[in-house]
Amino acid sequence: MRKLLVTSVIVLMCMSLPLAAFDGFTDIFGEPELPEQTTQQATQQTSFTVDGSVGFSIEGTRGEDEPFKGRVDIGGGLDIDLSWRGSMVDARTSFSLHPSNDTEFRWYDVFTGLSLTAYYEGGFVEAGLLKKEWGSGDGVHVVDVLNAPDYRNGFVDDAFAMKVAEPMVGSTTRWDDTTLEVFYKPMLIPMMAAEDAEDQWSMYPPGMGAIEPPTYEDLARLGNWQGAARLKSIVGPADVGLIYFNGFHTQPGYDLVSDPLSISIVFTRAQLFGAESTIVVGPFTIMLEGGFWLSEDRDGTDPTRYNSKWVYLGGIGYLFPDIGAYASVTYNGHYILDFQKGDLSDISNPNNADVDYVQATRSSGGAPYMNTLTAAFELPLARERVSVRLAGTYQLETGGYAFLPSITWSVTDDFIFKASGRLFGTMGRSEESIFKSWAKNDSLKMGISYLF
Amino acid sequence: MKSFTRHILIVIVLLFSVPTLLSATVTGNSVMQQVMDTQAAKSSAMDLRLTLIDASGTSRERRLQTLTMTEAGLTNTITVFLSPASVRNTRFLTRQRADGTDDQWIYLPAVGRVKRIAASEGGGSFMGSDFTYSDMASTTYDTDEADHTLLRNETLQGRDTYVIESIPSVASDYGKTIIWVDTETYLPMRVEFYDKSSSAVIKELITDDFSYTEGRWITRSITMTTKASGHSTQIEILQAKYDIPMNSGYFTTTFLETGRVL
Repeated sequence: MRKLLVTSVIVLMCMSLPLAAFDGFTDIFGEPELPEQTTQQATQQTSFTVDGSVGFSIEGTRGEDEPFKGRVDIGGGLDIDLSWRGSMVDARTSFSLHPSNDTEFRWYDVFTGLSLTAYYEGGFVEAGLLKKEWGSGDGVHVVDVLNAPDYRNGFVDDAFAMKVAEPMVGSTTRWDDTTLEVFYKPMLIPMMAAEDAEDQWSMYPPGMGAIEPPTYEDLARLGNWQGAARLKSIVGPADVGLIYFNGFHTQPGYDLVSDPLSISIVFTRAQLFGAESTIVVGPFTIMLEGGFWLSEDRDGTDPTRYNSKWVYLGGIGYLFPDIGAYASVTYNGHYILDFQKGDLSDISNPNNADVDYVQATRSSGGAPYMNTLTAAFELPLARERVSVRLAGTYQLETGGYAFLPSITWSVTDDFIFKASGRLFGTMGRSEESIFKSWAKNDSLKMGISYLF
Repeated sequence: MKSFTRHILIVIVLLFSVPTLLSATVTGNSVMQQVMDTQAAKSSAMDLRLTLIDASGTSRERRLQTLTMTEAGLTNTITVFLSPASVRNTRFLTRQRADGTDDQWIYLPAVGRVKRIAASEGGGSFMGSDFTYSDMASTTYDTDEADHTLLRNETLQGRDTYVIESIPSVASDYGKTIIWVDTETYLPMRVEFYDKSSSAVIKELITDDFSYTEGRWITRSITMTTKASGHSTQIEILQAKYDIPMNSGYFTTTFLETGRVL
């Protein structure tokens, strides 16, 4: 009853405020009259907006060694953003309804965003299921710590879509050209990946079998709190940010016991001291990120916990002024301290299955360092009706690659056709890696969507 | 009384002689200076509709609003796209630096992120239209950006115009432009844009409508046509306000991200 009363009071307070929505500069021009817009004006000043898309797609996947026995997946669905904006409070929720026969219904796949934002002079506080992107890179980051990645569908050409919206509370304070963001995450949301090692998008070594994921009770413990802060400022032609994070590595570690064989999941608490910068020089954009992950396993002796490591990223983007095309190349990597090679054929000694080594065998050919080159190119054509995008990543230690080309055609402004491909594999040394595992997942997808 | 009479005489003489003096000193530069003065404002707010029309007559519409404010000689601009749905609420902030270069940021609502970007200047098409980013900034050159020559006086659509040839002295997408400037309003009524070799007209701008609003002449509607493709773009100024009080909080990355002046 008390909760209902408090909620009612808050709602009444919000409704009684002098409201002014942002649908353009309404304070200067008044409300715009837009064709086909689904904005409904609750009052002269408030706004309730529905945005979204409905789509349908067909994806054909090659399948390993049996190109004509590959699978076809029917996709698509409905994505809706509901926004209410008042003078001091915003509320927004995002739904994503993508029916599928072979995956179970999960709340975090449906509620892809949920936020309440309250503004005050000089800043705002927000709470809900949020997605945030930290770092200066073009879709590739090493200091983007606030959301766990989602690899259940492999790599796609939308880095934001590969994030899990997480429960968090944040505060943003601004003065002059400086911003201080502080976030608190009450629980641990781990990286999402296929749980079955036989799944087409599995990141585990072949034959490992299924691993039971951690339960909600495991993740929602009070001790699993996480906090992060970013101080960002404009310095001449550069945006510069300093980042601190105290939380967990989202990728799980494993405690292997050989006799009898059992695997239990553990997570590593760590702190990140990081920095980011974007510098624009003429048509060039220089992107830098770097930091140090200080692990709870400071001396690197616990095989179930990830070690401390350095992370780095450097990238350059170029805008072709005459044609509006954009190209970027990014180099990123990490170097793990106190790294020890193991022997996965004999896990009776836990040190042979140190989590850093296990991960390295899947991502960097068993080396303590990992370096990746990523390139992207986007070319608008036919007066921006057509857009060609090429994105590729090459992992230097394993020779693994992923290539994600796509072409988008705006049949009308609201009706979009998109064809995209995904190619995975390894070149040269052909070291064991997820790229090699995913080589069977080469696919071609075609879809249409209507934006509203 | 004698003194008063002398003052009256001076005023009368001036009243009659000024038009004569002006007509005697009309040059390409003076006309273009007048064009600049007519368009100058400490702040402006525009609500625009772009209609992209291909050669077959099929049209697409874009809506955007833009605010511009000049402080201490530096101009800041913020633009918000209202439609179509694919770009709705995308916002651009451009801030001029003391060295004349621009800082530019973009806010992409789909990812809720503000990102510093290289300024989209030069000959790139603005939103797929027939206007380049440079054209959107101005379809004429300032007096210090080109050599302006008065070619002739001409009647265009029943109005007297000065015909000015402008050969840019700064980097430009065009070899030259020919501008028809209305002698009363000092608004460009027609502009021909020539290729780099100044031998062929590649685009043509026509002023479709103008009006006298809030104490100044303003262009209401213009159409740019690309000769080679027959594609054209009409820009309609649905609302325009000049020299209005404007909160500098609009021209911040805070506003870019939140859509609010905090």
